[in-house]
Amino acid sequence: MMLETYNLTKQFNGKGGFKDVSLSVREGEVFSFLGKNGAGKSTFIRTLLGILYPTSGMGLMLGKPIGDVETRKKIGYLPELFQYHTWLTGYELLYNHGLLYKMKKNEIKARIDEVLKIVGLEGHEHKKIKQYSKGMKQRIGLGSAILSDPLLLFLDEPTSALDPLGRKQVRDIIFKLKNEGKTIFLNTHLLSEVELVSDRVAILDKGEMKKIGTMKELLHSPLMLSVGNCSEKIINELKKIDPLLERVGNDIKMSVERDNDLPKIADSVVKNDGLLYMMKRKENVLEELFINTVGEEDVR
Amino acid sequence: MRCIIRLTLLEMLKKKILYLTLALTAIFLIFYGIAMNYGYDSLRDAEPLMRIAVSGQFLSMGIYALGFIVSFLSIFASVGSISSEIEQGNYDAILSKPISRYEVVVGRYIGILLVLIPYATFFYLSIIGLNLYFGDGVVANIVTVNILKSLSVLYLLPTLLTSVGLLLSTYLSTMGAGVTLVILYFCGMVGGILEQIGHFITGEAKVVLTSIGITTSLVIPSDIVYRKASSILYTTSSGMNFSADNMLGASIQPSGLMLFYIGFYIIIMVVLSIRKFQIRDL
Repeated sequence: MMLETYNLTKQFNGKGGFKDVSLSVREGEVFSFLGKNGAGKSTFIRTLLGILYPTSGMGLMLGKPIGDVETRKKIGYLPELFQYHTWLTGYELLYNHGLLYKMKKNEIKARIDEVLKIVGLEGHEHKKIKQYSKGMKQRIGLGSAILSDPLLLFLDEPTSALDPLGRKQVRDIIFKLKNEGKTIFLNTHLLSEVELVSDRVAILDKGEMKKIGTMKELLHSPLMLSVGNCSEKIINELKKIDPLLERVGNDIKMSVERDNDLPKIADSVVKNDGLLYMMKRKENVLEELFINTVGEEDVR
Repeated sequence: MRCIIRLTLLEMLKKKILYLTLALTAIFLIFYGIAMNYGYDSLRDAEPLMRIAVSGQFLSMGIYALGFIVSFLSIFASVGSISSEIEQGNYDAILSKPISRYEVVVGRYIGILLVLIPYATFFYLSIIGLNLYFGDGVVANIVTVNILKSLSVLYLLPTLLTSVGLLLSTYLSTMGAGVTLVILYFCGMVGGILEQIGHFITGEAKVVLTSIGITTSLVIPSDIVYRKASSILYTTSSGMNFSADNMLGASIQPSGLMLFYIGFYIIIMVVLSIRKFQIRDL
C-alpha cells in the first residue's frame, strides 16, 4: 500500500478538520477525494504531509509513519493555493525546490527541462512568478510537485485555476503519470474530472468519510434506451438481461453492468422490429451520488 | 538547511532590500563624513579636554546611529522570518519536501545574520574610519585591538535581536511580532538610559533607576551590547576610558558576565523558536 490511514483525525479545538478517516491507496491507482469546499479534504492532505499534526489515529505513507521527513523525497504535492516566493523566476523556483528535495545540481537542471515541457511552460521559465497568470502558477506548482519524479503524488484541486484547455493538459499529465505507474491522490470537487481519471473514489462530508470504493462499485450508471415500436416481446427479451428494468412509454431504463451486453441489447431491439433511437449510459451519475451523499441542501 | 539559507539571501537580493539599505547607508555616511570634516576642523585649536569630550560625542553619535540602524534592520528582517511565510502559505510547498522544521528555523536565522553581520562590519568600520581620518590628531588614541573587540561585541546586537524576532515570529503574526519587539527594544533602550542617569544622581532615585535599568537589561539586553561595545572602544591603551558622560555614553560598563548572559539568552531564544515551530500546525 502506498498510503494507509487508521481512524485518522484532525480537529481544531474540537471543530472542523476531519474525523476517523480510514482508507488505503494502492500502488499505481488514481484515488480521488471528493467533497464540498470545507469538507476537510485539504486538511487531510496537509495532515498526511506533516504540515498539520493529527489529533488522533495513525497513518502510514510508503510504509513509514506520516510526517517522516525522508519519505517526502518520494512524495510530490501541489497545494490547493500554490503560493511560493513570487520574486523568483519559474526556473529559480524549480531549482530551489530541487535543492529542497536534496537532488544533485546537474540532476535538477536536466529534470527542470523535462518538467517545463510536461507542464507546458517552456519559454516562460525566466519570467518572475509574479508575472505568471493563475493557470501558469498552477502549472509551475505542478512542475514542482513532479520535479523529483515522485512515487506518490498529492494534487489538491489541480485544475481549479485552469481554463478548459489547461484542464485537459493536467488530465493528460495525470494519465501519463498513471501510465508510468505513479500513484495519485487527487482532491477535487470537479466531478467530471474524477469520472475521467479515477480508479477509486472517497466522499468526505463535514469531515466524515461517507463512501469509498471503485467507480464501478459506487456508480451503477443505468443504461437509457429510446425504442420505437416497443413491443412486449422486446421488453421480455431485455428483461432477460435486467429483470427489474423500468419502462415509461418508449423510454427504458436498465441496469447493465457489463459493456459486453450492449450489442446483445441492441440486437434484441432490432431483431424484434424495434427502432433503436438512442442507447446511452445516463450521464452525471457521480453528481447524483455526490448530491445524495452530502445532501442537496448542503450543496446549494 | 543550505537551501533555506540560500532562499533567505536570495530574498534579500531579489526584493532589493539589501541594495536600498546600502544606498541609504552610503547617504548617511556621506552626511556623517561631511559633519566630521567640519566638526574636527573646528576642534583643532580647542583645549585638549574640549577636544576629547567633543570627539567622544562625535564617535558616540556614529556608533549610536549604527546600533540603532542595525537594531531596526535586525527587527524588520526577523519578525516576518517565519510568520510571513506562514501567512503567505509558503510552508505547504516547503515542508512537503524532505526538510526538517528545525532546518527552516536555523536556516532563516543564519541567512539573516549572513546579511546583517557583514553590513554591521562595513558600517562600523566606516564610522571608525571617518572619525580617524577627519579627526587625525584630535581623536583620543583608539587601540586597534579594541576596535576589533568592540566590533565582536557589536555582532551580538543583530544576533540577539534576530533571535528574539525569530521567536516572536513563530508565535505571533508579523505585525504582532514587529510591534512587540519594537516595544521591547525601546524598553531596553530607556532602561539603559535610566541606568546611565542613575550614575549621576544619589539616594533612593539612584537605586530605583539602576534597578529598572538592570531589569530591562535582563528582559532584553540589546542596550547592554551597544554600551559594552562603546565602552571597549573608548578604552585607550593606557586603560583610561573616555566614554562620553551622557545618555549615549557608557559610563557604567556592563560586566563580562553579562556577555555570557547574552550568549545564553540567544541560545535559549533560538531553541525556543525551533521548539515552537516544531510543534505548531502550519
